[in-house]
Amino acid sequence: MSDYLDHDQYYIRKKVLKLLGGSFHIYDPEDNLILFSSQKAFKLKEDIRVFSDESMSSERLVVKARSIIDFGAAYDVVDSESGEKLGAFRRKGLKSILKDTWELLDNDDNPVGKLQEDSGCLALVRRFGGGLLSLIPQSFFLEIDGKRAVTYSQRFNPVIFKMDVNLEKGSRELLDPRLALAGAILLVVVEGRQAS
Amino acid sequence: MAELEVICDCDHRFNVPESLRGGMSNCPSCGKAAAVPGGPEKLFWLVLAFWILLAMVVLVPSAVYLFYNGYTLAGWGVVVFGCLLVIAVVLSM
Repeated sequence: MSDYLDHDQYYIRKKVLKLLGGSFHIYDPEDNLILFSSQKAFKLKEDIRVFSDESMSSERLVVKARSIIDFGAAYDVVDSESGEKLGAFRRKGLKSILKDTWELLDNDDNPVGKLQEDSGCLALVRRFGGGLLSLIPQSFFLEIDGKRAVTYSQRFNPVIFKMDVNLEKGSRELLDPRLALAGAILLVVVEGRQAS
Repeated sequence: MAELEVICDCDHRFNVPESLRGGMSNCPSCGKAAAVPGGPEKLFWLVLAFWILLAMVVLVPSAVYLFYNGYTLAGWGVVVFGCLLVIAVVLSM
């Protein structure tokens, strides 16, 4: 497995000053860039290509939507190096109106985990509170078999979107760290786009 | 449950659940992800094509009418709008 997966903590920074499309960087705890992605604007079907650096010469992961419509869409996660599909995330469209909720699916589309916003009350405040309340940072948990495997915490920063990704102790026995990163990527790209 | 047939790049054929339509599935033979055909896109493109056709039916006569009656600026406005519409559609494909 690649060395970029050796860490238990990562943080993602989304580039704000990009006129068309979007991009984000993923760093390890020592602030070394380990993954980079740039998305084209006006892309109907999400196809997120994640590279090892900004030169975009070495592709690491692909997160690809199955359909054009975001509402309830599933996103397959493929390791570019091995060409193997690792799993998929499916957005629970209706539930996400009130509280962002995703399902983690195995290769046969059976649900194996749940990725959701931390608190239902805070989720409502963020959505309907308006003004400064919408700036309350979001946190998400990825649970496998009821055990918390990954925590995603947005940092309080109204200007730049930053999110910490923490793989809990023993989480590697529950899920592939590439799926943990793919979950973070979807939160940044799909949920981040809806928030903006 | 209905199943879809997938043909991998290694020429192996296998079946996957209907829910994977438009997605990817690992080939049991080579282990690599193969694209599952289909997807709910047909209806989307049909609706999009309808709206573009409708827009052209409205935009082209409007532009001709505006140019013919001397409203050059408004006519160019309609032409530019039509071009932007086409560019947006092409970029999104």
